[in-house]
Formats: sequence, structure tokens, C-alpha cells
Amino acid sequence: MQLGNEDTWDLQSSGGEIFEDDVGIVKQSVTIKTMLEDLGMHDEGDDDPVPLRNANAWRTHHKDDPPPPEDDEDKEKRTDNISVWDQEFLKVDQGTLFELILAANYLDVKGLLDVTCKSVANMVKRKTPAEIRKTFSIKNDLPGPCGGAQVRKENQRCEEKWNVMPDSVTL
Amino acid sequence: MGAWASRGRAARVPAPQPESEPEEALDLSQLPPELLLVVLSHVPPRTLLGRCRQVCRGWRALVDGQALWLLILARDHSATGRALLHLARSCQSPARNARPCPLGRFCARRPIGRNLIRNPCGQEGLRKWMVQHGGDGWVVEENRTTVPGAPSQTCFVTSFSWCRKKQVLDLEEEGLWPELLDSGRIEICVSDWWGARHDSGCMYRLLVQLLDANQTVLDKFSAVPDPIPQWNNNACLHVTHVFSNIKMGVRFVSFEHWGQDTQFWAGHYGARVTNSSVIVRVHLS
Repeated sequence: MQLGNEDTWDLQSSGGEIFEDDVGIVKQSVTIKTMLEDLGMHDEGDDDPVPLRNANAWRTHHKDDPPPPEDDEDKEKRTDNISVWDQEFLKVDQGTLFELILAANYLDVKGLLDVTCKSVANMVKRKTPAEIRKTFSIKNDLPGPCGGAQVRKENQRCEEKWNVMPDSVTL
Repeated sequence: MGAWASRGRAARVPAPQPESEPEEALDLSQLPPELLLVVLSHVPPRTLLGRCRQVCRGWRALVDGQALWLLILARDHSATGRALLHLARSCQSPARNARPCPLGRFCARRPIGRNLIRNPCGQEGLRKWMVQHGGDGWVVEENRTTVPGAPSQTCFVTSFSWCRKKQVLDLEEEGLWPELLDSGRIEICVSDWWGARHDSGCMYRLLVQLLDANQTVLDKFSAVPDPIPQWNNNACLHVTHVFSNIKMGVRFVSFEHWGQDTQFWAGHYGARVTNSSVIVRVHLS
């Protein structure tokens, strides 16, 4: 017997809440879809509860999103195209944000993984190394001044510097 | 089950202010390394190379390694992007004395498909060119005929003796790593525009050379077109060439051209050159 998209499935989050979900929403997670197909049809609640928490709410909101076109490279590259709803959704404490990344990765929900990782990446942009360390509590274990000079020299080649020719050289 | 639910955590920080990001520190050590890689892959390449390398040893290792850049390259689903990803995987340079992976500079500079010649139309005066003034020397003027696709409708104008200018492109500096240059899969497309003032004939020469690391010439293209005569309706001509079987070892492109008038007039009545371009492309077959 096949599960239709209008059937429902009870899902339990690690917080103990039980969500009654359209199978259509649940199938957005590739992992769960695979699991459902492997298991065939079962009564609700027989299988182990799948922890979902906020990942569930995200998927509910985005359930009618069309799948992204194959060639939409620009959309993937940009980090400033996080929708207002998603931005509000992601205003959570750091623990929850990281749980969302892990959940999205585990459940293979690509859209959520993209938007959560982009929002953390946005915290890196426009910061100096010292500010980045402060934001993420990272200890500076790089070599000291002698190593630092080497690093600056390496980075000069990394920056867009015109050091082959000066402004206008008379031959 | 929620394996992460039981993971030990540092002391919880209070909920952030209603701003775009929490002020308190986020402990990234909670993220598995492969997910830190995914997060960093959304940071602009220049920031990764210029700032993230400087944060700590762990981040430096990720930025200097290959995996991060392959992740970034994999996002380009165009035909060129897929070809480049394949080349990046198969042509990766061996880890030699811990130098950063050259794919980083490639992703930051994005040298494929764009003009590597700087100041092609004189919009920055004579900057970025090595110049040799003949007669009354080089000047920059507005175009008398529209040149299609030019970033600026201005040109360099020559005088009554040969005026010469040259630009040498360092392909590795532009982000093209040696194995890619030697792969036989790239081509170098050269283009230049030259024209005349209606009331004066003029002459033009072009010489483009592909050089190895020791500045030895491996290949060249030379254009010696007939002069444009006087009374020419501001004629404007396009010169192009494609180097398609690039010899191994090519590391520099030398682009130089000359112009002068045929009337020997004081002032600037000689050949007008503009919109010079050198573009590297990838074979898609």
C-alpha cells in the first residue's frame, strides 16, 4: 500500500513534541523519503521517533518551494539572498543554529543547510582576523612575528596588486 | 535518534539581541570539520585568502588545502564550470613545501573568460602600459567610431613616428595554475581594434608572444596589415587570433602594438588603438 501525500505521519522531535505532518512535507527530506520507501507503509508511531525540532518548521514553510533549477549557480553563490522569513527564523542562539546545521546535514535538507551555513558565513564577512576570532572564540595559534612577515608576503600575492608594471614606464 | 542532542556543550549563551547576528561568541569547534568547510565555502574567496587564513592554524590549513576550493568550484554548474572542476581535480599540483593550493587564487581572480589586459581603452590614461613615445607621443582621445563591446569609448592615439606600447601578463599571478596551463585544454584569444582619423592615413603593427617562465618565446602572432589610406571615413578594423594548441610551459603573454601616421604631421594623426584583449578560455569538448 502506497502512502499518498495527503496521508499524515506522526513525527516526534527530541523535545518530545509530536508533529502531525503531511507526507508531502516529510518527503522533502531525502533521508526520510528513503527511509519511508525502505520501510514500506507502516502505522504511525511504530518506528523510532525522528528528531526534527525547528527543521520541521522550516520545511513546512518551504514545502511549496519549487526545486531550484539545475543551472542556478548565482543563487547558490550569493549569501545576501536569504529571505526575510528565513532571516527571522535564524535569529536563534548559537546552540540552536548549530543544531540546525547538523540537523539539515543529517536529514539532507539542502535548502536549510545552505541558508544556515550562509548565515554563519555572513558573520565572517567584513571582519578582520581578530574580529573573526572574537566572534567564534578561536585561539590564535599561528606563528609569531617572524611567521607573520612570511604570511603577509604570501598574502600580497593573494591580493589584487599590480606589481608587474608601474603606472606607465617609458621603454 | 538525535545524536547531537546529547553532545556536551559549552555554557549556553543568552539569546542574541534582535540584530542580524549574535554578539556573543559562537564556538565553531562544535561543528564537525566537514561542516565548517561548508560554512567557509560560502565566504568570498578574497576574504578566505586575505583574512580567514590569518585566523588560526586550523582555518589556514582549510584555506591552503584543496577540498574547500573544489567545493566552491562544484557550485558552478555551467559547462565551463564543470570542465574546470574536472581539470582542478585531475591537474592538482602536488603539495610542494606547504605552499597554498593555487585553486584559491584561481577562485579569487576568476581569470577564465574575462579580459586580462588592464586599461584596454585608455580610460585610466597610460596606466598599466609600458610605453615608448615617438613623434609627439601617445595621447588618449574619444573614439571617432564606436567600437562594439568596449568598456570605454576612448582610445590611444599615435603620432608621426612609431609609438609603441606593451603589457606583459603573468598568467600564474592571474590565478591560472601551471597544470591547467599545461593541460592542453585551454586557449588564449587575442583581439585588438585599430583605426584612423578620416583626414590622415596610418599604420599599425601587433605582436603577441607566449613566453615560458624564463621569458623564452614559445609561440607568437604577428599582424602587419596594410596601412589605412587618407580619407577613410574614420575606418576602424578588428584584429583577432586564437592560440589553441598551447605549448607546455607557457606562463606569460606579451602584448605589444605600434602605430604612426603616414603624413608625418605634428600632433596626433596616427593609428588609434583600443579595446585590446587577451582572454583565456577552456575547451569544452
